[in-house]
Amino acid sequence: VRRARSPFISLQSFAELLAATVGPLPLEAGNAAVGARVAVSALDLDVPLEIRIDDGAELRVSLPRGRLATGFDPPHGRLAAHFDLVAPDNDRSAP
Amino acid sequence: VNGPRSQGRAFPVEEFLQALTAQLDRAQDALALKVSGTNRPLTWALRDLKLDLNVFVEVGDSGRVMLRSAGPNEAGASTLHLDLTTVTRPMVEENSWSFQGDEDPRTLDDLQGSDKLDGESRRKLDWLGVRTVGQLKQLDPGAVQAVFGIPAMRLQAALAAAARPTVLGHEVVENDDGETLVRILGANLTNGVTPEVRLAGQPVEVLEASPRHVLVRPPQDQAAGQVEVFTRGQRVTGFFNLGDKDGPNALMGAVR
Repeated sequence: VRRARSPFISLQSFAELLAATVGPLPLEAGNAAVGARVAVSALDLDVPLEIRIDDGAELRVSLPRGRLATGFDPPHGRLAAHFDLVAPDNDRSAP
Repeated sequence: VNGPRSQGRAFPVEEFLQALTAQLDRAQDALALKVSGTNRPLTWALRDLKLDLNVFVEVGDSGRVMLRSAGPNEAGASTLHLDLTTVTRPMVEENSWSFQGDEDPRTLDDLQGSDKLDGESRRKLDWLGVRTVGQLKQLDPGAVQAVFGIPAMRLQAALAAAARPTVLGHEVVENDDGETLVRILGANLTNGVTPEVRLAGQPVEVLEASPRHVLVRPPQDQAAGQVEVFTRGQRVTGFFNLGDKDGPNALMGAVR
């Protein structure tokens, strides 16, 4: 007997999504040998997001699964986040 | 066939926000770990976060505001805009109630007997941000009745209960000379006049006295027994045991 697939089966923790989206980004490129070096100082992330409040009031999310939205998809919310690249020891705004 | 799908349960908004901030802490920890192995000891610091959530806002039976995420084909959902920003430790300390500095940090649940506040009044006080007996004592019952509808008589009864002396527990401590002393913990244990204290029926020397604690020298021949504090014309009791050396021991006392 085949069971209906839950539309939320591939949602992940909001914390995991943030870490997985931002973590792999390169922090710098180039060096003195090639004559230029570019370093990242900040990052703005603005993406639509599939969202569900799950057990334990945990926010579970997914980036959009494709270009075609169907009536079987939950309505998308939106995430906008701003990150700075800092040295932890010098981060005066850290809590 | 394509009707609304049955959705998950609703959660109190405060639980959701606590879970969300815990997730942000976890994300920050994970990001710090990912870059700590590089040559540049830098980390991504989340400064600002905005979330638009499609949710249904409900009020539960107990008056709590609940959130339930909208599902496919569900019409009429609200959009909840959440803006979170970095809060530094000085800002937290400046804007939070200092429980350590509270003159009476008992919770409202600690008020005993028939003067205990009912659930509806407790909920309204919670909305006011009143969570400790010390905060309760600062309220004007007449003003609270006029604005929030909590009967002044009920608040006055709770304030009278809050003013009674109470023994909540004790801890065994040592002074600089290595002498064992007993610190009796409670509320309203003195009004400026040093209380009379008996341990296991014997009068003992009171070394320090404040509304929240009384430090006494225990009798040499008694290792455990009843605590009696005579203050404000009342006698309150508890128990002590010199073998309890692992921090405060909660023992409820009784007013007689």
